[in-house]
Amino acid sequence: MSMFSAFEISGSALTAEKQRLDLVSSNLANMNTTRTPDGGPYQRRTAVFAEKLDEARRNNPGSPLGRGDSGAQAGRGVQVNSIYADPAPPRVEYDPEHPDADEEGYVEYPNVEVSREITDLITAQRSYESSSTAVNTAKDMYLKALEIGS
Amino acid sequence: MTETANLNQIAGINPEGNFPSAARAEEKENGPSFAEMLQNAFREVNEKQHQADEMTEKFVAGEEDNLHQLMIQTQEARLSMQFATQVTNKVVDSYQEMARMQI
Amino acid sequence: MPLFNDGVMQYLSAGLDAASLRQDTIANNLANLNTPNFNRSTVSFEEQLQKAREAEEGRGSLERTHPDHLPQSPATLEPTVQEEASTRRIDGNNVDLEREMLSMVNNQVRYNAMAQRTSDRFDNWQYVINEGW
Repeated sequence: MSMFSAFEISGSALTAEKQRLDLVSSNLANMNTTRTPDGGPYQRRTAVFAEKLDEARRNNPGSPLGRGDSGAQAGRGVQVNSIYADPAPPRVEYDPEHPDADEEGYVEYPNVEVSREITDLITAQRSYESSSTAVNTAKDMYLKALEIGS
Repeated sequence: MTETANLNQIAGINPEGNFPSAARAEEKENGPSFAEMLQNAFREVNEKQHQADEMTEKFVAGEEDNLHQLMIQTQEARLSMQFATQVTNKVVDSYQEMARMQI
Repeated sequence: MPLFNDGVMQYLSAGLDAASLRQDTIANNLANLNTPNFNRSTVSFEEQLQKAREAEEGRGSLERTHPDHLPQSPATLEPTVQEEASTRRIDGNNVDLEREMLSMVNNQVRYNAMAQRTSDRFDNWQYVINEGW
């Protein structure tokens, strides 16, 4: 079994949560962007997280963990499967003076809610920290193993 | 099998066999002879190795989680063996010296 | 070399394997802390080992007279990974952060202890080979 799979697994989480963090930053930064190149207000973006699967499990969806090539093995970590735009309707405000107001004077604002973004931020941070700790733990363990015999 | 049993194979130590006449002569006096003392020492080392090994196995199986006890036992076993080895070395040295003198 | 690979060494080797696998498993659980419908998994080894040891004791073979005489030796057991279906959160995930962290710390200490013990055994032999007459 690979010694360094622990690092890969935790590494996948660090990568994925960083992506989540980036999305949150983007959402927050564009909270009030009423006009985008595609027209219309900015749409909140969110990531779909899924377990990273190895060859065997990808071909047999739903199959459990268990034996790999070299005995029992754990999973492969997590990955961002896709990033999609939140289809929730935009926030509408009445402001006829606004340059992006429509004929009736309503402005469409992005469907981004601060509280929700902050929650996602905390989730990302919590997860990131735990995987970071896991990396350090694995490092500590294997450094100890290197001391055997010295 | 314990470490000591294996070590005996390596070192060729045989407490009784290597100290024939000189030791037996001492037995007639009061108190333990060199041979006896060495035998006791080795028995103790063996015992300590046994204990350390057993504790290790229990630890791995999760039956025992007293970490510092495990470490202490390990060190005790280790030190007693090192001590016994040194003592044996010294005794053998002196015996060889005595053997040389007789000739 | 069979001389150095006695019963205790096999135990330690298997124990280290199990702990290493457990670290991977915990890492995977943590990585998927927020993955919808994910089941946490655990490593099973110590319980199996205990049962094997009890069975061995029951057969009255407390003393191993020869290291090769290890029928269904506890030390030949292999650790296995099992998924756990326990109470879930709304998103279908059942990973508990605190529990995983605790498990990780415990596992780390055990791994280090077993590694240390392995190291000590080699030290011992090394010493005798060098210093013994």
